Amino acid sequence: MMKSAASTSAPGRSYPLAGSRVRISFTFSRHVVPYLYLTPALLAIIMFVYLPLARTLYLSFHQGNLLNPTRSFVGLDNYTQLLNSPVFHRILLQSAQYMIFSLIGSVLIPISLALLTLHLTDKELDFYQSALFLPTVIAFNVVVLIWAFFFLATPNGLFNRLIALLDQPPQSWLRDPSFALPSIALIANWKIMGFHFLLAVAGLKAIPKEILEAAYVDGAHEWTLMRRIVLPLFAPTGLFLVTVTLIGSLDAVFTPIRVLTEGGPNNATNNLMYAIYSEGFRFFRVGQASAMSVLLILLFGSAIYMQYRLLDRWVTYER
Amino acid sequence: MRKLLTILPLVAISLFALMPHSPTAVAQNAVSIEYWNINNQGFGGATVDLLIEQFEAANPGINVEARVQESYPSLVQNLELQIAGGNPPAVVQIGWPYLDYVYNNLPYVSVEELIEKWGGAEHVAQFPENILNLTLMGDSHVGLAYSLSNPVVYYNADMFVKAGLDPDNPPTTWEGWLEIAPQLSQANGGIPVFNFGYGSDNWILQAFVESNGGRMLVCKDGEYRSGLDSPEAAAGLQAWADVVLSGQSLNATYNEATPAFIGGETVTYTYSIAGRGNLQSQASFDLRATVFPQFGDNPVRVPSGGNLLVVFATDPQQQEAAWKFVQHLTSVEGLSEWTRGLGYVPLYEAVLNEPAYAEFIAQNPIQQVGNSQLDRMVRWTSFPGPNGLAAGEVAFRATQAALGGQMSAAEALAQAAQEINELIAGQPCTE
Repeated sequence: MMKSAASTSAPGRSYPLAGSRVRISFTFSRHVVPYLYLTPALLAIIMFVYLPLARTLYLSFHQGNLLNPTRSFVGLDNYTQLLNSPVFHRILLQSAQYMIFSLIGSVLIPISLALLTLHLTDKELDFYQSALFLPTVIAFNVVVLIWAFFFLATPNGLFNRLIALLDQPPQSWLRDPSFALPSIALIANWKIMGFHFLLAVAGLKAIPKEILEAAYVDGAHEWTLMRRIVLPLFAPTGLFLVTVTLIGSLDAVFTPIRVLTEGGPNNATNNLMYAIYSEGFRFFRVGQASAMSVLLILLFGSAIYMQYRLLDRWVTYER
Repeated sequence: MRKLLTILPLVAISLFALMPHSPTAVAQNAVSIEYWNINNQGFGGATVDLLIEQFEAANPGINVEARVQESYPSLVQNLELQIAGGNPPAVVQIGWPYLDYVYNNLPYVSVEELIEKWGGAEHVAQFPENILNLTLMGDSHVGLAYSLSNPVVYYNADMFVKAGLDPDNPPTTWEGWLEIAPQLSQANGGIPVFNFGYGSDNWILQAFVESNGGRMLVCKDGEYRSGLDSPEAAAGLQAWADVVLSGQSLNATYNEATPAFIGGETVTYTYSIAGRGNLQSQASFDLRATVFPQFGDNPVRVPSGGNLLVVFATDPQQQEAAWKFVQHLTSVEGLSEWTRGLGYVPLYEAVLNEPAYAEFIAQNPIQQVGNSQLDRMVRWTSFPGPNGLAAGEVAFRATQAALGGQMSAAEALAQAAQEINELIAGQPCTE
């Protein structure tokens, strides 16, 4: 008697053939084939992501440089040194400051500007999009050089000329700890803002007009429309902007730091990303650099996890 | 016809592939070596090209490829990666502060080994002992000293005239400079008088510290210790910080300092004699120079900037070619070309007597200033051990803190000395 195929198959599905060959074939196609398809991508991820991560973790328990094969095992020394170092605490704090500046310059301002463009004609919007997007397409080194002229410490620096109009003496913008970090953050955000503005405009444009019109007909005022319809429907784009900004905030300031301040004055512009680079490639202390990298991954990983958990509650996805 | 048109490009490509299209394919047994240096076109690049051209003409079969790196730190970074990849460059300019790091970490070929394999003892014998000792680590020489520079005070003589001062008699002491600084500034629109371009290499810091009687590094009980926590060191840095904080000096890194001086935004610029060629070609005013100032009765001690040439080639053919090239660069003619092109000081007596150099020096008083400081030159401090580079960064941070007015020089240096001592702990020395 032929056994019903339905009994060997997934619930709710029936197959015309039965028998062990069919079962093997089904099991194979259901449980093995997907993994075969995934294998090339998995191999690439393992090779280029997980193996380096494992290697970084391994190196963080050692002391040595890139060349010397004999590295000494130091256990958790690199971590305890870092966690007890006032310089590292300062670097962490400054990393957070860079993130806050990024949230303002690369999320809040672009979204605000995008909201302001809601009433513009398409032609006017095109103009603003092009003008604001321009810095995005300029090479970062060029952007930094442009801004270097603004921040020159000499009386001929552009900012010094401006403050000279107010009878103020010239400032060493990038050598003064109170100006240096905001100056570096300003450069990075100036470069990124246009792209994020474009994304914000796209997010706003994706809000169905019918919903807005219906609400308007129902008597909703501008503020109510904004609060009840625009912002909730814009939330996925907003969440995306917040996420990519936070992830990229330390990366974005790397070039200006590298070219203009090297983390100075007296560490005032240093952040986790640049500190890792300095330890690994300027001082060749691979163990310390790896320990910092591991801490960075943990910090970013947990921050992004928390961000998703918290923000997911507020975000409305159209399904 | 269409077939012909299809075949023709294929034939052309095949012929091109078979053609000897690189110089290595032209000469039989040709050797190619890489020469890593920091000489871009604004800093001696043309002289490097000329020296390579001369060498290749005299040594057919050896091709030298110059690879310009951004700076000494980035050169060492890239060198390390290249060595890790098993393909080290043949000859490399190593900045003096990296001598200790190279000695302890990188697989260089010592001068003694090169002489034993390929000869050249008589060439090395031309160097005076103090210059040879600059590259001596342990019982062997890491490389050959090549570029030696010292800091001089460049000044704008036109601004001296404007202030009613004699440009032929600039001050030679710190006190002398402080005395005329207000007059110079006032007569020239209130601009800063001083300009000490600096970077994380601590070069100018060392000049201030050691010319005030302090030391960057001392040997105590058989171990290296930082010398920055002495009152003399603090006095040196404080002297610099005082003029910065009072607005008499620009607070600028090398990148900003040079254009500021060239643009007439400061009266003086304390910078390497190696920058002479570049400054002379750019200055549109009467450019002159004088010695690094003396502080009180302390003898002037200026760190020797520049680099040494180190061979990393492992292949015997390349190693031999590399050593030949090093000898060419440090020959009388090679050094004459080099020092005239950039401004480095000559390494040995015979260069001074070389006709082209003698003529050049007679007509170039700025270069004479650099040469006159030869006996005041000391080794540029290279903090020892695997954390040596990080220790250098600590000293740099202290400089920034003092120049920015966040701490007094004494506080900043005391804190830095403590940190440096932790980083270099256990590094042995002999008194």
